[in-house]
Amino acid sequence: MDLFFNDLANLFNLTNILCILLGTVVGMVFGALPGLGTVIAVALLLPVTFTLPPLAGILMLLATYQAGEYGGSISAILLGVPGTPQAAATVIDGHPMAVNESPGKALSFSLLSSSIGGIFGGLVLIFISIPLAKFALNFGSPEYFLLGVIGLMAVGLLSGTDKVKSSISVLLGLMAGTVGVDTLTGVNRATFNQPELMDGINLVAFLVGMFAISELFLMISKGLNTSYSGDGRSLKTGLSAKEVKGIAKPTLIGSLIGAGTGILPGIGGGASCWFAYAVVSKTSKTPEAFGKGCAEGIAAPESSNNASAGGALVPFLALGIPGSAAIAIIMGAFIMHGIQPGPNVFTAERDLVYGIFYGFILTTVAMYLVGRLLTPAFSRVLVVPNSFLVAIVFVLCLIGIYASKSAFFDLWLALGIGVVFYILKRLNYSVSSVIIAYVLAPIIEENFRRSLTLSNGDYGVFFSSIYSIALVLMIVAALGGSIFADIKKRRTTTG
Amino acid sequence: MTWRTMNSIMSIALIMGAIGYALNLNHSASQTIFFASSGVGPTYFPNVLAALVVILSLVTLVKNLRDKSKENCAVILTPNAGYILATFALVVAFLLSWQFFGFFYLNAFVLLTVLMTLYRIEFGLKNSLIVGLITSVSTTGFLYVLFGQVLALSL
Repeated sequence: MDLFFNDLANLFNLTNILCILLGTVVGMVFGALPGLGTVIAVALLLPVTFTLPPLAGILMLLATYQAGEYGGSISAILLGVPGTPQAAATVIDGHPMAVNESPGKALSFSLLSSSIGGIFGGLVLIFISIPLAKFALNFGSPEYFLLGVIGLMAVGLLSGTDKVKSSISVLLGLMAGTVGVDTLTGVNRATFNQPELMDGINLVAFLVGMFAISELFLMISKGLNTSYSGDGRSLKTGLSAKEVKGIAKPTLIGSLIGAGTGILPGIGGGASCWFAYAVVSKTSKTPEAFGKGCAEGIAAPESSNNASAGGALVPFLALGIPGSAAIAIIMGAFIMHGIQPGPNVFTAERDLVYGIFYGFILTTVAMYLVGRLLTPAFSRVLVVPNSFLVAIVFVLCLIGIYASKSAFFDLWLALGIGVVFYILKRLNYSVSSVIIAYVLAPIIEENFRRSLTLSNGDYGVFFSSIYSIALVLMIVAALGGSIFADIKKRRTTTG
Repeated sequence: MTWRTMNSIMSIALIMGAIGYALNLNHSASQTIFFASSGVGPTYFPNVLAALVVILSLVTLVKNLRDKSKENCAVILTPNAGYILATFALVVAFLLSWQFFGFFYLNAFVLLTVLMTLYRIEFGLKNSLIVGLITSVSTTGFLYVLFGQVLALSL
C-alpha cells in the first residue's frame, strides 16, 4: 500500500500535470484537424521530451496519443471528415446525429465512450502487462529475435494492401536502423562518410520527415483553401442517465475489442473501430437505426480506439515490441532517455513503469475534463484552412528537428526524407512499417547476432527451447495464413 | 508520367539505393579488422537486408511491368503540384539562408509571409499579402516568446 501511495505521490507533481495537460490540448487539436492527426502531434512533441524528466515526457506523449484519438471524432462528428483514420467509423452515425439532432450530444457520446474506453485500456495495461513481463523473463536472445520478427511480420502483413511493398517498407526501416557505428564492434556502417550519421539517423529528423513533412506535401495536394463550415449550434449538451445507460453495452463491447486488438501488433485503432462498429451493429436491438445517427454507433468505435491505445502499450512495455507508429515514436522517447522497454524495465525502472500505469488513467481523466471544457474551442480550429496550417506546421517541424541536436544536417536530411516518403506514400508503401522496423532494428539485430555468437554460428539455437519453437510456429502460421488469404482472395476475384 | 512508370522508377531507385548502401557498408567495414567466431560480423545483417530489398524490388518491378491495367497506366494527377514545388524551393532557400546568415526569426517571418501569400493568392495579391503579413507577425512573435524566451532555445 505504501508503494501505491509513493507511486501516486511521484505522479502528482506540477511538471507531470502540466505535461499531461499540454499533451492533451495538442493531441486534441491535431487529432481534430483533418490531415494532421495523432502521429504527427506525437512526432512534433518528441523533441520537447529531451528537456523533461522521463516520466513527464512520456506522459505528455501518451496524453497526446489518447486525446488525439478523441480529437479525431470532433471533425468526424461536426464536419463528416474524420480527423484521424481511427475516427472513420464514427462519421457513419456521429455526423448524422450532429446534423439531425444535436452536435453537442454527439460529441458528449463520443467523449464519454472514449473516456470509458481509455480507462478500460489503462486497466488492461495494468493487469496484463505485469504477468506478461514476468513470463517474458524466461526469454533469451533467440526468443527476443523471434518476437521482433513476429512484430515486424504483423505490421508488414497487416498494414498495407500490397504485401511486397509492405515488406520492402519493413526492410527499409531495418536498413535505416542499422546506419551508424555498430555497438558490438565499433565499425562504421553505411554512414557515407558523414560524421552526423555515426550515431545513426536522428530519430526526430527521421520521424518528422517521414510523417509530418510528407503529410504537409499531401495536404497541399488536397487543397489549400477549403473552408469547412462549423455548426453554430450549442456544443455543450449533457447526457441524461437513460442515454448513458443506452451506450453501456456498446461501450463495453468496443472497449473489449479495442483493448484486445490493441495488444496485437499491427492492427491498432484503425481496424478495431470498424470491428467494434460491425459487432455492435449486428448485436444491437435496433440495427435499423445504425447509419442514421445512432448513439451506439458512436460509442462502439470511440471506446474501441481509446481502449486500443492502452492495449497497444501492453506488448510495448512487457516485450519491447511497439504495435503502432505512435507507440514506436513513444519508444523513441524511451530510447532518448536511455531506457529500453521490455520485461527488465519493470524492475530497472519500477517508478517509471508504475507512473505510466497510473498516469495513463490520468491522461484519460485529463482528456475528459479538457474535452468537456474546450471542445467548442477546438471545433473552431477546424475552420482554419490548410493555407495557414501548412506554413505554420512546416516552421514548427523545422524548429523541432533543429532543437533535437542543433544540426543543420538533420534539417536537410528530414527534408529529403519528407520528399522521398511523399512519393512512397503515393505509391502505396507503408510508412508505419518503416518506423516500427526502424525502432526494432537494434533489438532484432543485437539478439540475432548474440544468439549466433553464443551458439558458434549454429542456427539451431532458434529451435532450442519450447518458447522459441512456439514462436517459430507462430511465424510459420502467420505466413501460411497470409499466403492462404492471398490465394483465396485471388480465386474470388478471378472466379 | 503514369503510375506504371513511377512505380518502375521507384523500384529501380530502391535497387540502386540498396546496392549503394551495401557497397558503402562493406567499404567502411573492410577498413576495420574484426573477428566474429559465429561468422556473423557487423555487415552480415545489413547485407541480408540489402539483398532482400533488391530481390523484392525486382519482384515489384516485374509485377508492375506486367500490370497493364487501366489504373496502372493512368497518368498521375497531382493537384497543386506547382505549390508543392514552390514550397520545397522556399524551404530550401529558408534553410540555406538560416544556415549561412543566421537570424532564424527573420527568416521564419519571411518564409511564413511568402508561403501564406502564395497559398492564398486566389483571393488577390493585396488581400493575401495583408493576411499573410498579419498572421506571420503574430506567429513569429509567438514562436519567439515560446522558443526564444520561455524554452530559451538557441535558434
